[in-house]
Amino acid sequence: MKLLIANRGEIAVRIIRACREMEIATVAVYSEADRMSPHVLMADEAHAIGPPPAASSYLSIERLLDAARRAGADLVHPGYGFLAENAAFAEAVEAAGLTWIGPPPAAIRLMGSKTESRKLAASAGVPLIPGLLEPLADLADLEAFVDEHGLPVLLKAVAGGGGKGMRTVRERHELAPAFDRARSEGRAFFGDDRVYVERLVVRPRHIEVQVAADRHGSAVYVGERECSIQRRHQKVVEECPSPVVSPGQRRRLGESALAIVAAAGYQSLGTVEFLMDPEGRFYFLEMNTRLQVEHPVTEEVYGVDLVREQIRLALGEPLSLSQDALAPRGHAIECRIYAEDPLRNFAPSPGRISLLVRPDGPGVRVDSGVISGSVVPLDYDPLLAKLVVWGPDRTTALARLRRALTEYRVGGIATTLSLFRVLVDMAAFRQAELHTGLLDELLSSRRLEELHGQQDPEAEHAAIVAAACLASLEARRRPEDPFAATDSRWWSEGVRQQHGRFPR
Amino acid sequence: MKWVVRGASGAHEVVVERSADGLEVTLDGRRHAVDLIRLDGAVASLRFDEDGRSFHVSYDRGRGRDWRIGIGDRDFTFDVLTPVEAIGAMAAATGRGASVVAAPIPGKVVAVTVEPGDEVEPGRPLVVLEAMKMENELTAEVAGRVAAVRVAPGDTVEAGAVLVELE
Repeated sequence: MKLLIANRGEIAVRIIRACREMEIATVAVYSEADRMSPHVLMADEAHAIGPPPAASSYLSIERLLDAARRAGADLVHPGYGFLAENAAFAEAVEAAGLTWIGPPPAAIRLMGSKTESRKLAASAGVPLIPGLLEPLADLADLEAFVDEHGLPVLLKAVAGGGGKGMRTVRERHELAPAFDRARSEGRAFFGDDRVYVERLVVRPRHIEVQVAADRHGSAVYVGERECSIQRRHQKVVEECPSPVVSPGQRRRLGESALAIVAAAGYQSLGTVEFLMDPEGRFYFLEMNTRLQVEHPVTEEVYGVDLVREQIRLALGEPLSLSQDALAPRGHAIECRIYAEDPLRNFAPSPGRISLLVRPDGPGVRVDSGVISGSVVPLDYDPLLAKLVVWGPDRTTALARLRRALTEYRVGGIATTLSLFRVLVDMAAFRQAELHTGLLDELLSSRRLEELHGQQDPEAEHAAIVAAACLASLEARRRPEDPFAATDSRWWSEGVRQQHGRFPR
Repeated sequence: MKWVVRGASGAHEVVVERSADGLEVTLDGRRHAVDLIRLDGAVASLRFDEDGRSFHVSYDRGRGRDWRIGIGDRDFTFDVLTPVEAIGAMAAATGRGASVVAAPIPGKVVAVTVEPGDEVEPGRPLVVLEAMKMENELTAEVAGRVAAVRVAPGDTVEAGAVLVELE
């Protein structure tokens, strides 16, 4: 049996690992930018699929299927991102006589539609964020909604978008003027004065449920993950289990997720995402029909191999997991290491990784898509690796995370590692007082370097001393050098490439 | 050598001198004997002689005077400026046409040449600040009216202190 991985980076490496344990041969595909990437080095076979831009390589259905034909592959795993939730790709894979490792294309399509998936969830009895699906007829309509669901509410212009035409109402006496203004704004900006109302979930947590379903009518939920640490709606840190979900809530969340699985006739792995309000009420957001980036925290806590299970399900085998046997053990936290510079507003930081020291020791797992010497291209998602720590409880996991961060070194490019160093000492994170706006609030309150200095004044003091010493040593070395300004890492890198060593 | 190191916590005066067995560093008036060994173009070891504290330093010099310094797993960025450059930066900082003229490095106010209500033209001197043993004229970059003068001759000011407000 042969499996083609239509992806790159750490997830391609993760899938190869599962295949190797299952004795399935692996086929990597690579763009011109990825000839020397770890997934290519690791796979049994590798096929070129085009130039660096994703549109002409990893997103080209034609080229991927051509590589699968050349390799004689039997299965295709899409990973996450790229074409993982593209129903047309799933159909093309199946039409080519290959096995698609994922849900049926119809399920991808259904869950890809926000309105259809919400209707399905409602029909399955799963709570949605209270809101009227039809525009408000008049003020009395709005007042009736507030009588039933309370405040605050969000008024949304039917034709609005990008934050325009949205209005939050927190006080009852503001309802009438806010309704009038929302209507006139809608008319002025979008030529449409119809307005929806929705209950505003203040300081929500992002809680998601891992599900797995086979073709024989069995389905299980494999606990929840909390992904409330987000930067601009992108998950940055995930943990399992959620520090606030009780066993009873876990069962209710799991049963809600399985109701959606049943209503959709869903098969394969999937994730049902919910928002949870501070009172512990949860509301369906959407369902992701693929393997998630953050699947390892579930694997660590439940002792399962989700990728292996996903491949088995695609081959038509029955679930190897039973609901009664799935109990959480300990606590896992994942940090996404991106090639972004947290000191420069998370600007992309492409380049060559000149130094890579991975953390190790008890309870530490690194799923990495790069090695020392790797060039990080600008063309793709900047996720380099995921640092996952496990401990018998959250406190131990946090201590391990802090310890692992002191060992992890990436040189040559900037990464988000230093963000996690600050986060792990923040009281709100340590006490698990999380909500999806927490990280953005923190980052807009202060510069990250300032937070480093506040948490560790001794390190800042040493850094100032080191900076002045280094500047002195450098100034002495070439006092009159008119090209001193070119003594940057770019110059060093040029010399290193040409001479194969670092300049002295 | 004398440096002004500017970072998130403000500007610091640092003097670095070579000694018999290392470097003598005076930071904000406190003297430290240190040993700094560079391993390659990006990693160094910093050791304080007084108590043996040792730090793993990663460093990267940007295009100009900006340095990124990692101490263990903490990251910082600094502008490491010579006194002359610091004064140039000070002039540039006042030249943005901002309504607030602030001191970018610590110093002593020698003279204030405007009063509240004065109309000023671009280039008109506002404050003379002594820093790093040099007198520096801070001038208005844009025309405006002086709303407030926050310092008087003889005042010692910290980096970032507001000197004059324009409107």
